[in-house]
Amino acid sequence: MEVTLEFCGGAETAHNRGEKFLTFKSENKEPKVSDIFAQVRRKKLIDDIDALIESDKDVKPGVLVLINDADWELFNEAEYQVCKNDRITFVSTLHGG
Amino acid sequence: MPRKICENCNERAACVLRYDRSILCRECFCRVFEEEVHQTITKYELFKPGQKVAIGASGGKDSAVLMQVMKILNERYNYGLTLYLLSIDEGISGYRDHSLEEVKFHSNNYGLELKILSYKDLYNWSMDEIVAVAGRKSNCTFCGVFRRQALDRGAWQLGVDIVATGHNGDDVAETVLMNMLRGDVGRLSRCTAITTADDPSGIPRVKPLKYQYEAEIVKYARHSKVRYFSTECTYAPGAHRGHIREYLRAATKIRPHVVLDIIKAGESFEVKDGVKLPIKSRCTRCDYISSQPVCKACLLLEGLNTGRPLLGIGKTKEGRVKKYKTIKIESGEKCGKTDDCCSKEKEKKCEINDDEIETCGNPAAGLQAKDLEKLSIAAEASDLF
Repeated sequence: MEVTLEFCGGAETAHNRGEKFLTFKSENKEPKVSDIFAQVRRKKLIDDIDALIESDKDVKPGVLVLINDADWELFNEAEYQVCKNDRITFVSTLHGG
Repeated sequence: MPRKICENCNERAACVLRYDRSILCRECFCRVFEEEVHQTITKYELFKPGQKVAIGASGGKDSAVLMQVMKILNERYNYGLTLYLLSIDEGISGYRDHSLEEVKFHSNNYGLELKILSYKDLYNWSMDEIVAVAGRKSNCTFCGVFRRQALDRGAWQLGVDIVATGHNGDDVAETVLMNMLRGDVGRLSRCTAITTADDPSGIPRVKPLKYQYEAEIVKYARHSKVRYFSTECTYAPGAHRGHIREYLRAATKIRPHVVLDIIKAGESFEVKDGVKLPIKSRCTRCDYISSQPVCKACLLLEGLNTGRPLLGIGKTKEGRVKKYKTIKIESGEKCGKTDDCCSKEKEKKCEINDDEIETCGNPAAGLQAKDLEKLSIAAEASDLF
C-alpha cells in the first residue's frame, strides 16, 4: 500500500534536508502506524529518524503526529490501521517562537 | 475506525485532543483557544482601551499566533487597541534573516506597521560576531539581555504604551525550573508575573499566551492556517534551556497538566523574610534599572568592546577567554630562585595572555624564549566551545 508521510513545523530537517513529503510502499498490505515506523527505521527512509521517532510505538516528546490533520491520540496512536490515501504528518514543536 | 465527534458542537469530526482530555473539532478548538486568551487578557487586565500595543514579532510560531489572536480579539471584543509589530534582528545568519521575511509577510497580511531594530545598529555587535569572540557557552545570556533592552528601545521609538510577547506556558514553566536549578531566588519570585516592567518608568511587557500550551499553539497555527518560520536558532543546540525543555516535554507526556501546575507553583512562591534579594537601583552609565552599579547590558558591551568578552558572564575576573599552554619541564631543572619552584612538577599548565609569549607567567621559572619549542599552546576547548 502506498503511504505518504508529511513533515511540518521544523520536522522537515529530519528528512532529506527539507523535503516536505515522503511516499513509499509499505511492506504490509494493511499496516498499522507501528509497522510504518518499524519499516522507516529498518530501511532508513528518514535521514535523522531519532529526531522524530523514538520507538515503534512512540515519537519523541514534542513531536506531534496527525492523521489526516487530526491528533493521532484520537485514533489509538501507533495502533491505528492505516487506510488508503491517509496522510500521516509529523509536526515539530521544538523550536523558538 | 469511526471518527470521534466534537464534544462542543456535537456535529463535526474531532481533530484535537487537548491537554485536559477534551475532544474538539477544528473550528471549536480555534474558538476555545482564542477565548482562553481573551479570558487571560480580561482577568489580568492586560490592556486598556485606546492603548498602542507593540507585538514582539520574531516570525516564529508563538508571535505569529499571538498576532492573529490579538487581531481577532481586538475586533471581536472591541479592545480599542492599535497594534504594531516590533522585531529584533540579532544578526544570526541562516536563522533570523529568514524569519524576518515571515514578519514582513505578516505586516503586509494584517496591515500592521512594522519596526525592525538590529543589535548591529544598537550595539555595533551582531550575535554572530559575539559568538565568534565569546564562544557558544554563554551566547544566550548576551542575546537575552540585549533583546530586552532592544525591545524597550523599539517600543519607545514606536511610541507604544505596552509590549506583548509570545511567551507560552511551556516557556514560563521552563524558566521556573531553570531559576530553581540556579537558586536564583530573585528571578524565581518574578518570572511568573504576567506583566513585567524592568523600569517603573519604562514600557511594561505582557504575556497573553502565558497559559497556553506550546503544542496547542502549534495546533492552532495549523488549524487556523497561520504562517510561521520553524527552524531552531543556530546557537540553540547545547543551550541550557534545551535540557530543561526535554525534561518538561517528557513530564508533560506522562501528566499533561504539569505545565500549568509548575506555573501555579511559581506564582505561589514568596520569599521568606531575611532572604537577601538584589536591591533595585540604577545603572551609573545608562540609568537603566539595575541591581549592580553597572547594568548587565553595559557590562557585557564593555567586555565585548575591550577584548574581554566574558566580563559579566562570571567565568573569569578579567573576562578573558582563558588560554593555556602545557609546559614539559625537564626533571632536575630548577630556576634556583626558590626551593619550591615548578621543576618539581613534570608538567605545568600555565595561563597565558594574548600578548604573552616569553614566560609561563610564573616569574620564578625563568624559562627562556627558546623553550617555546617545547611548548604546546592549547586553548581551553571547553571555555570556548
